This record gives sequence, structure tokens and C-alpha cells, in this order.
Amino acid sequence: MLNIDLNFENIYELHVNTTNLKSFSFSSPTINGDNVHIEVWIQDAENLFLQDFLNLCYGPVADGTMNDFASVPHLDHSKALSTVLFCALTYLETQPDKYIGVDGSDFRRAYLYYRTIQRNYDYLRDYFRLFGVKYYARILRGSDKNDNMTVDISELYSVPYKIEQQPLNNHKSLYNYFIMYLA
Amino acid sequence: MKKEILDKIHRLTAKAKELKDVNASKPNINTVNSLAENIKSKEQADAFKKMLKAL
Repeated sequence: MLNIDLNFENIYELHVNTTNLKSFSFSSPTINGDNVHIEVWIQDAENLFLQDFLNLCYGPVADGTMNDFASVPHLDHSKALSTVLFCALTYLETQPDKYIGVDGSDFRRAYLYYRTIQRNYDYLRDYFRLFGVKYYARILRGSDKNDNMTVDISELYSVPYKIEQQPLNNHKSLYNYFIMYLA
Repeated sequence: MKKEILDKIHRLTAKAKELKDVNASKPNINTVNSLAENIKSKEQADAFKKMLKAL
């Protein structure tokens, strides 16, 4: 099981690529002895109604496309993730009215992020207010009692929660999306 | 916030200012943003923001 210890004083050398502090890169050594070039992008949501909510993604890039599903064998996962989060902190320091979201692009990552937040709860709380988002869909009963129940997936309901420090075994369902706001 | 961390942030911010008009967002084909995908109206967005601010 991967245990991440965040520390913004121990990060890889970061390169900032844009004046608006929305693109960074760093080199992360791997257990194979090579280095992987990691990009961190903070992007506007492609949604007219969520202009204050930006999305953070990171990973190797090929042909201009980021692969945020990539499983990179970082030599030091703690240092790599601290570096990624430091990018968010840097951006939010200059744009304190914005929210940055991180999507658990798959179950493995969502669980890792949640475990990391719990393990580093007190440390992170000095820098960020943290929220998790869950999504709910209506269950449609049908017109007759014998009708099968169906799920209305056309209208998902997004609900934010303040993330509290709780033992992991108390959580029966995960957040899909994590939001950071400057503390 | 610790001075060392704040200094690092200031150094990066200063480096960003030295760049010349490199402001463009890059294409982002494979990344996921389920929040943006699931909120489809101003009403939904306003309700979400209201809940968030109340926390």
C-alpha cells in the first residue's frame, strides 16, 4: 500500500511554462533508473457555469495529450505528489478566489487521493480548505409497481462535502472529485 | 505559511512574469473533469456553489 507524506519543502525542481501559472513541469526519477517528464496543467473547466473552478491534471505528455491514467513508477511518490500540489498552491496564492479540482480519474487514483488527504490532513489544512464531491442520480420508479426501477442518468446531482479527518474504514463510498481552496 | 514555502512560490511567480506572453492553455484530450461534465445548467451550478459556500 502506497503511503504518501506530503512536504512542500521537499519537492522536485519545478519549471513554470506559462505566465498565467497554469502549466508546470518537472522531472521525476523512477524505480527503473530513468526520469519521467511530468507536466502539471491547471485548466479552465469547459463549462460556462463553472468559471471559478479549475481542473488540475498531471502526468506524462505524448503528442500534446496528457495521459492522466498513466501509472508512473516514481522513485519517490511523496515528493512527486508534493510537487504537483505545490503547483496548485502557487496558482491559488495568486488567484485566491478560485477553486482547483482534482478528479480521481479512476478508482485507484480516487482512493489514493482520499488516503493521502486523510494521512496528511493536518498538514494540508494549513494550506487548503478541502472538499469532496459526490454525484447522485435519481431512481425512477416507473408507472406501475411491477416496472423495473431505472436510473435517470441524464440529470446527475453534484453535492460537495467538507472533508473531515475520519478513519478510512468509516467510509463506505468515495468522493470522485476533490476541491482545493486557499485556507 | 512557512517563509521557505512562500519564498518558493514567489520565485516561481517571478519566473512566470519573465516569460513572454506564453499564456495559452494546452489541449487536454484524455483528462477527466467529472464536475464540469455533470453540471449542465446555471441553476445546478448556483446550487452547487451555494452548498460549497455553506460548508
